[in-house]
Order: sequence, then structure tokens, then C-alpha cells
Amino acid sequence: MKKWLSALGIKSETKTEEPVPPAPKVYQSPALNLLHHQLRHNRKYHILDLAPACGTNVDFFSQFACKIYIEDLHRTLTSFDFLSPEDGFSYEKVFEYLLPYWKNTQFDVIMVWDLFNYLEIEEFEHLVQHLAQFCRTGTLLFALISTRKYISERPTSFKIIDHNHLLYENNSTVLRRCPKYQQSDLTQVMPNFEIGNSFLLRNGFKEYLFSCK
Amino acid sequence: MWKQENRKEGNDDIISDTPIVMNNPIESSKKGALIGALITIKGEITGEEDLVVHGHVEGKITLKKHRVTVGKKGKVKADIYGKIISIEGELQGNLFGEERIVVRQSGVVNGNLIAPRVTLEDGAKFKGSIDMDSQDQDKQKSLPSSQSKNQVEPINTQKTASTGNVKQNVSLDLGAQPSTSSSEK
Repeated sequence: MKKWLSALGIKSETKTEEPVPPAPKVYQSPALNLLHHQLRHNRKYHILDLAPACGTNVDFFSQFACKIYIEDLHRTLTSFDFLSPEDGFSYEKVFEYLLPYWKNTQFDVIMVWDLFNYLEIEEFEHLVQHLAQFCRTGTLLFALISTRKYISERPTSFKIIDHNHLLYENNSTVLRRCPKYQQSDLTQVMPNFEIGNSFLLRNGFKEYLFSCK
Repeated sequence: MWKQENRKEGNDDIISDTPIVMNNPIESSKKGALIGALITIKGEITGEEDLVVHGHVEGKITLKKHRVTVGKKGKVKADIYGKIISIEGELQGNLFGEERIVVRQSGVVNGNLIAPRVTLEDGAKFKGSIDMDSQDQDKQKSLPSSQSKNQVEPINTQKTASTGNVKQNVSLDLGAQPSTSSSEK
């Protein structure tokens, strides 16, 4: 069985930096603030979180009536043995297998965090296509795209401190090359979504709040 | 009396808390039932006392009025119905908590959680969905149907002022999309 490594980012160049991960830091999150202001207390939301489970984030969303789906997609992808396209395996099947939802599932909010930075463009495109099946018009998608040359080897852990602040926790001292997706890339790869708001932060991330068309 | 008799026979080493608890039904019901680390149970567990699982359980656990705890070494592949459910070990299945579900730091859960309150401790591994079936939802049910699930929420379009660590911001109009366009997906 041949393991298909492109999704794992293993081909990417890596670079070791300081041995101890930098201390967690709190940054403002204007996109989260906007997202928060669009949620109402008088309806139930279906929220998809692609990051690992985080109690504080669950607590934050629990102020609204909601059902939260937690997927920890990066870990699932990196620990998943899947075959190459030559062996008849496709991205569609991968995401159908990893993110199986009922056809009538409709998410109101999707928290992607910084996951897109860890996907090749093809994976990115297929993931978004897959997710779009479970979105309604107006579904909000929150993502952080890095503008730096290198990013941490593994996705950052983000904890919602309040509706306007996120705590960033680096999980690795090893760095890897960042795909540095531009806005034009996002527009091309995410045809079902439009950019609602974007904010370039001093920490090198650009926050995006997309809306499903 | 029991202790004295044993002592007379020179069995001091045998005396421990465990046999006393086991022989005392009142004490046993206070502490609840315990499935030891070397026990495997397949099937349905029901009852009227708290339960702690250190062993393996496959099937279904229904103790709606009681606390169910899966200990650090416990491995459960079952749906659990309980009042307060606490997971410290591994669980694959759905949890239905009448009052609360807690996934402890050491907990590994793959399934769906339904309870009015759910707590995930830092370090807990969880994959699945969390449905906090609060009283608000009952209120919500009584609201007029004008706010249906598919209705598009209006989105604030005002520009956000640059603050703190925000260098630049671009504000676009998300606007309310016509609901008919959902078919484009």
C-alpha cells in the first residue's frame, strides 16, 4: 500500500528554529468579533470546527443554542493511510470518508482556523467543495491565512478568550514553508464562497470571514 | 466484631476496606458499582446506582438518574445514558447526559454528546458533535417561524476601525443573499 503524502505536507521544506515553542500570545480577532455579532441568541446554530477539541471554544459557542461538530481534521489527515490517485482513490472520497454528514446537514458557521495553510492547493479546493455541500446561503467560514514565508510544522491551537481575542499556541518548534495563499488563490479555489471581510494582523496572519453564496 | 474475629485468627493482613464495602450493601450503594480493570462486559447495563467503569464495556449503559464515570483505564464502546457522565478513559459511542457531560484531560471520545452542559477539559481528545440541548431551545421552539434555519441573517457591513494589532482591514458587503441561490450549490 502506497501512502499518499501530499496531504501531509511532508514534501514541504522544513526548517528548525528555537527548541522551545514561543509562549502563547493573545491577539485581537476582528473577524471573530464580526462573526460573533452576526450570531443571534434566538435560534440554533450548527457549527463545524475543523480544529482539535478545545473546551474554551466550546464554552464560547455554548452561549448560543448550538450543535458543534468537532473534527480535528489535520490530525485525522496526517494519521490516515490513503492511496494515491493512480490506485483509484480521490480527494472526493477522502473527504467523504473523513467528513461524512447527512445530506440535509447545513452548517451555519465553519471554523477552519489556519488549516488551509497546511493543505496543497488541490486538497484545499476539494475540501472546500466538499464543505460547500453542507452550507446554506450565508454560511460563514472563518479562516486564518498566513502571509509569512514559514509557519509552524503543525497548525496553531487557537483558544477564544472572548469575542474579540484569540490565544495563539504554537504546537511545534519546527517550521515548514507556507503556501502563502493570496486573495486571488482563495477566490479561485473557493468559488462557492465570497470574501466578506479580511483583516491583516501584525502577527502575519490574515483573517478572513467568508460567506457562502 | 468482624475485624476482631479476624484478628483473633491472626489474619490482620487480610483485613482491608474492600471486603467491608462489598459486605455492606448500604455502603456499596453510596459509592456505586464498579467494573474492575480486568472485567469485560458485553450487553446492556441498567440499574439504580452510580457506576464507575475501569474495565471494558461494549453495548449500552442506561443509568439516567445516576453518575456514570469511565475511569482512566476504562474502554467503553457503548451509548451511555446518565445524569452526569464523566469520561477519563476511552469511549466510542454517544453520550446522553440529563445534567452534564465532562470529558476529562485524559479522556478520548469519539461520538456525539447531548446534554444541557458539556465540559471539555484542556487536553481532552474529542471527535464528534456536541449538542447542548438547553432550555433556550424550548423557548426558541415557541418563537414565530419567521426565523427558519435557512433564513439568511443580515450581516453588519460597517467598516471596523483599525485597532491594536490590526494593520489594515478591508470591509466588504456580505449582504443578505437571496435564499433561492442556495440551489447553485
